[in-house]
Amino acid sequence: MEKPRRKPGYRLEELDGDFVIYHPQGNKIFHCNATASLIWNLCDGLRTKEEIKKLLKESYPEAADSIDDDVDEVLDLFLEHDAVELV
Amino acid sequence: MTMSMRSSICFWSMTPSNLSEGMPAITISFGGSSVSVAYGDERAAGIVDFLCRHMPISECQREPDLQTYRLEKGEKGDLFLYQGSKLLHKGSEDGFTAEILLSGICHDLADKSRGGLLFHAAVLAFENKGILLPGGIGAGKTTLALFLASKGYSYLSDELAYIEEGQNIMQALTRPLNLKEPSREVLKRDFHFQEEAGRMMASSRGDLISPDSLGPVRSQNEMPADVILFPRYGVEKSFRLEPLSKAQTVLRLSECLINARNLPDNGFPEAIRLAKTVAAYRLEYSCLDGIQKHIKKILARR
Repeated sequence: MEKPRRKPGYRLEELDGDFVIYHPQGNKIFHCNATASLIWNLCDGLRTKEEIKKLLKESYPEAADSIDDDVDEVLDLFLEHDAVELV
Repeated sequence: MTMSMRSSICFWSMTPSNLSEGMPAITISFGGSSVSVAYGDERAAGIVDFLCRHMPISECQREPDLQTYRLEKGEKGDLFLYQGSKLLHKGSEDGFTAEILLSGICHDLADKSRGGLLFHAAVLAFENKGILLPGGIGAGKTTLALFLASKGYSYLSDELAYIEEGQNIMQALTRPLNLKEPSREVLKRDFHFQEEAGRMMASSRGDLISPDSLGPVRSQNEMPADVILFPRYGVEKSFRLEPLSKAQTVLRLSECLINARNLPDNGFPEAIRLAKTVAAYRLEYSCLDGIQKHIKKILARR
């Protein structure tokens, strides 16, 4: 099973509860919300997408209904920006 | 003709020196970068004066990598504009030639700029508060700058703003406004094009308008950055003036940062620092009427 992993060189910066993820050398930057930043930190190459979803549902049961879609959407965003790879 | 360029900061002296085969020349130093312009006769001197009189001029220095432009009149009355030894343009129209030279100066200043953030941005001031208006081509920077200047704001630049690393002071490249032709219609009630014709040059796409036609030019072209406005003109756009989050501000600043490749970490840490310390807004509009009042309200809160 493929596991999402952050690509090297990217940095996460919190700005008043909002976030940017950027790659200084690659001159790439994109904006994300708190949920996305949480998912970002879980993309360590050790967990599958399903494991990430399960972990978030356990931690945030009140948001369980939307977590599947959120994780799918955010991982698509990271892949689109070439910020994570599947290992 | 005597060149009448003046220094806008005390340590910049206007000292033409011989740079190119005995021609008088000036060096424009801005944003950690310099460009030299040599001029061969009165007509060329007039064009260079029109373009550069409010720019930060320093004494010429012969540096091996300093880009040098040379403007001179040919035997048949054409103007010849060289970039280094390369003929960049030959033509009879002062305005067209001026536009090419202005574009070249700005491009070369940006190309080697370092030591701070260089933005594609207009800069204005109102009651000693500075406004940065970053935006790409077609965002409406020049149109908005001319409109606001007609309403009592001080004009500093319509194109380049530099913020030195670790500071929130904007340095503006004060140059003629490069107004595109469609904006004439938009601004006809606010700016007297006919009366100011003597302080304008027709360019290929519109007009170059001297800052002198907008009232007294500020002796200082440095201002604190009090507010950042990201303008976006659109025919169908409803008026919006809304605060941006700091993250959104970083993204938009990064889009308008033109010397990123010359900065540590592509300037991201500095853009983040700026976004953390200066309030930013998105400004969308299709009509200029009343915009100045909305911006004044924002400035009053700073």
